[in-house]
Amino acid sequence: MWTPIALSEDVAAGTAAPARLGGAEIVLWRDGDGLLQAWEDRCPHRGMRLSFGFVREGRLTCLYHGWQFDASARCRLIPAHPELKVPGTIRANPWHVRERAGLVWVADAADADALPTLPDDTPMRGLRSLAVRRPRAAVAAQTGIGAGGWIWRDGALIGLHGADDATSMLHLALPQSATAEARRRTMGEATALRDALEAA
Amino acid sequence: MVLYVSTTLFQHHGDAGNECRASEKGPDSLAQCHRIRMEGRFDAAGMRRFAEGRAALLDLAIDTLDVSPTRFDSRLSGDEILLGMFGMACLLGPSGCVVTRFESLPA
Repeated sequence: MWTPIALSEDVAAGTAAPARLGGAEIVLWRDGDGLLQAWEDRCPHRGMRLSFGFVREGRLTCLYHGWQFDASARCRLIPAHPELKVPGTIRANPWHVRERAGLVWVADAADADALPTLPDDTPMRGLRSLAVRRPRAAVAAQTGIGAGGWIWRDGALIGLHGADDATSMLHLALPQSATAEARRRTMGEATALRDALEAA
Repeated sequence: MVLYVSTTLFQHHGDAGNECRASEKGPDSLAQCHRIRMEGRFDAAGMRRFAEGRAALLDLAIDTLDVSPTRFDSRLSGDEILLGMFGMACLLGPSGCVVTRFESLPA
């Protein structure tokens, strides 16, 4: 099951950002070439959030003790023991991750299903993510967003995921050709939707 | 109280009598074998789970010999640096486990 959890443009090249999915903490990060990774947001050394870390030379570096992890999630360098050949057992816990239609999608199963059908031929650009203080099931019921976690409405793609038991996230994307006025209008409508959901 | 809290936890004790057989860790390994004993106040199941999980993470072979609410006894083999990391991890955690005495002896 693939779930949209962020806007692609919210994870810039060479940076790391946190996300939550059903209470699970995830770090999203990109190397300098723009390749996106999604891992459990915990350094296997002392449990520090890797999203506090930094990206250098294609590796995510833990802020605590500087352990460096490459795109395969393997630890490649422990600065306190630079001569150590780090065993392959020391690695971060990766999620499956893909980008489509301006959103970041993750799945935790090795046999992750295919992504839902989206209008690939329409280049999309993320607009905004909104936190909603309502459980995912309640938001899905009121918006008509199905189990796939997304809906196409009034020219906008709306993704939905549950951050935790009480909080949901809406992710909006519009075609790259959308005008500034369309982006402003959609932003206003999304904010109104968020307020209505929280008032329900 | 005896507490060693440095990365020299697993330095050699005299001659190299604590080197493991190569077959235990592969032909390229310079594996060391150590018997470690910890005393303190433990959630025994939690301590065992933590120690064995940490050993797996660090690519160390572990034989857990004895676990009780006051004692953890095991035999480990692997890279000496990684053995030191294992010892430090046990001294620091897990929650609910307090180590008051740590011994590392050649196995």
